Amino acid sequence: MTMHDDNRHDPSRGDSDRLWADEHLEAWMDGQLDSVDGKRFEDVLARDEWLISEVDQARLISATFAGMEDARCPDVVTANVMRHARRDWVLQLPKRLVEGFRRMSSAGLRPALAMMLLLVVVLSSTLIYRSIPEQPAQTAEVAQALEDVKMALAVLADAGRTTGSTVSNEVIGPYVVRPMAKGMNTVIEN
Amino acid sequence: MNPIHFRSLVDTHRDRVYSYVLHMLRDPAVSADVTQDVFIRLWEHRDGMDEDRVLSWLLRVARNACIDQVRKRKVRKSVENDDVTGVDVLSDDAPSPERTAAASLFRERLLLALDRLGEPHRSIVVLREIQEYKYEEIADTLNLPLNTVKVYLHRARKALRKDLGEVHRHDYA
Repeated sequence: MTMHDDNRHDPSRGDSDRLWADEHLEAWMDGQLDSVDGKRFEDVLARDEWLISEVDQARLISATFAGMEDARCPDVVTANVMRHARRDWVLQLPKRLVEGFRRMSSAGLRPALAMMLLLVVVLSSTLIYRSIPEQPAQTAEVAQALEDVKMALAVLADAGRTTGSTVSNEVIGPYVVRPMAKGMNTVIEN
Repeated sequence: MNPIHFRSLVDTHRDRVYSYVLHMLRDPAVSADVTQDVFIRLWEHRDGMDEDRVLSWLLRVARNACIDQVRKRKVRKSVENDDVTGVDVLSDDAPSPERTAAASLFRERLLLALDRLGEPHRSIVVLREIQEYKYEEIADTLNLPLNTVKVYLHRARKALRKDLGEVHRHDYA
């Protein structure tokens, strides 16, 4: 190897311009040097074989990287991820329902929920009751129980109308739930 | 976020994440596993996720997972079976076998030099030079100041240039 060859590959063997150019090569390639520094770099480039080879090397690196495209993710990855997500979604469904109910309950919607629940119970019970063949005629006790249910619904409706949104537990318990439970028990027993 | 919405996010970002991981680890099987784990973590952290920044989040998690993988076992795999990309860099309209072989050899050496870069320089090179992210996106992903990203990228490019120059001198001296 000649002295020239050694000097060609080592910026520290060159002058200060070469050292400066070596430090600023990437910035020059990115177009981030101002006009003065850009001119200085290009002046060095015009007369320094070592710097020319370094610029060529940098351009080759950049072009090689640019030729690398994104790889396609294997389908099995998506399939496994979605299987996990769906299973987790199903497993957490009861928890989400309970949380949703709690949020609704604490948001002043308790009367509406209570009324919905009562209606479901009453309607389903009525349907069951009517579907039983040869059902004996209503006794006075059953008629009274149904009246209690109607009264409970009326109390709830009235409470909802007068308070706008909220019915406290003190009202729902004694005036809705208990008469309903008593009434339904009577209906079922008879 | 329900599974249908989640699926759309997976479809949108899976190739970018997988490519990043593959460039970091250069092992398709391990990269698939890591990518799968990254998206499962996204599902588990879906509540409160800012969807505008979900790719940055994914790449950040992927990068940490890659670092863990590299710590577990040094990945120094040959690119012989590497299916990341084709090699077009030196190709003209009809590349000769010699040119193709030279390009392939250079590419292999470049990837080995990339392996030798430390973090975060390596991630910055992959994200910027290969995946062509903006500086701002890289800064967001790596949680680094914008100027730091630029400085690190310059240093990384220079390190690659020197590394490949050393190989060149060693081979042809």
